[in-house]
Amino acid sequence: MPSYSSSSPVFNSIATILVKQFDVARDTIAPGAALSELGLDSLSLMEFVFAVEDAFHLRLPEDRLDPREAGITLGHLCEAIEAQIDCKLDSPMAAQA
Amino acid sequence: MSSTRVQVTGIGFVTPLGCTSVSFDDALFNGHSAVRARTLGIEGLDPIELAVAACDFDAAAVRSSSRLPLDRGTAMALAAARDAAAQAGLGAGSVDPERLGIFWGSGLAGAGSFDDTTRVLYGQQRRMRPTTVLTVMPNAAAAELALHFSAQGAVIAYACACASSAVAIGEAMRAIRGGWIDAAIVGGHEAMLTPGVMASWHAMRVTAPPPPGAPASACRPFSGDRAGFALGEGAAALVLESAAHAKARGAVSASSLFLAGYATNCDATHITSPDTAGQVRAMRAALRDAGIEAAQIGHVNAHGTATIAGDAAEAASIREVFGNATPVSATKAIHGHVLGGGGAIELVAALRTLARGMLPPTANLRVPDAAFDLDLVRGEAREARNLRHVLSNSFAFGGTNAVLIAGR
Repeated sequence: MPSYSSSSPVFNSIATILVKQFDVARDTIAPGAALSELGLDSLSLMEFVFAVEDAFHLRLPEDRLDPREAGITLGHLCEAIEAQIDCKLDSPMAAQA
Repeated sequence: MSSTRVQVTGIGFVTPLGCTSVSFDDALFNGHSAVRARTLGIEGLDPIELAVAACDFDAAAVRSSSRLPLDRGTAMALAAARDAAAQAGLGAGSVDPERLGIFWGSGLAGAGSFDDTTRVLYGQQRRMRPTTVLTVMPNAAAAELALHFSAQGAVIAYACACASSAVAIGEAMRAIRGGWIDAAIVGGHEAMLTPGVMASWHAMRVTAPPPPGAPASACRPFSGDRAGFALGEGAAALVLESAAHAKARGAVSASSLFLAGYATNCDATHITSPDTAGQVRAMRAALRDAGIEAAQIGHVNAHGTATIAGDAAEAASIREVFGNATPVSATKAIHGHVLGGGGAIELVAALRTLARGMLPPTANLRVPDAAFDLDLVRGEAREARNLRHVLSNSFAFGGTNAVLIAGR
């Protein structure tokens, strides 16, 4: 499994969302951490994905990323975000806002 | 009348007049209105000019126990209740969780959240938040308070429009008197300043237009030129306890304020049109409940919405119960109509009136309606030493009347 870089801007953005909006301890947040291991219940996980979509101004297709599915990591989430950013030809930089 | 006295041991609020008794008293006793003009722009409609009283409140800063997003009104409820509980010293271990209740009122509850989420659903994004139901349900605030304060007694949400929180407070008083619980966190909220909800109120033709250059004077209760109310938002919470419970944990010295009486009934005459006879019955029933005579009420905090029909019916009912010698004020002129939260915020105003021994003026009331034969407090606040009992009216769409009497 390719490991995702913990220094990427996308990763840092979602880490900030987890800490600030969902009270997740920073030291539990790593690219290899499974979403199911963050201590969030299923509704909170879905709200987390919503918050990520809002922050990056995009939609993550559910067939690609169901947050309740076991084994999905924060790294996978970052890759899904980047794939969607690549799809958005109009204004990719808006995603960094 | 019951032998169990129900003490008010904590008060907290989030209102357009601020969140502290200093800012609240300053506006209340000086008649400073928080009403401002707001233009509601909805695509395809002409702009709508509204008078609204909003709170300087950051809902995002309030966290839920479950870390899920909160409705703005629920966030206000939580902030107000935390302040009330802190003032009462109501911490873990100070009350048996099974003997602690939550009695909470809201008229439209999560309508604002529903407006926000459906705007997204029907807009460009086309998605629905997974927590929409949880933020919209009428017991969202009551449930959040129960989680926060570990209240395992009765946790009940009341929805009777403008009387919601007054009913919630009164029913909690009855539950404490009846011995079902020892203490309760009570009150109500409303957060309805979203486009769809504001447009709904405007469509009823009951909201006052903001006068050009003087929007703060939009709501003029009992005035000859009254033109309706200003929409408000906010929350107020009280901690109620049996006197024995408060005394046992040493909280009774913190407050000499208590709830003396309560009554609720229904006009059952019309969905919106107020009924003087129903209001008279409710006020007299509250006086009987408190075991006092009308002459012992030193001040009436009127429902006073500043609608043509509403003020006329209430002026007549107060006149019938009290004659024309009991001073009357209406505070919606300064904090707006907070609907389901209004009864609780106006009870806070009544409690501040008692605590200060001072009667607040009805702001924006220069020339009272000539048809009203009442002692309307206007201009400046009036000193009232030896004030012992005040009465607060809440009269709702749907016909529900709720009357609370506070004492010291």
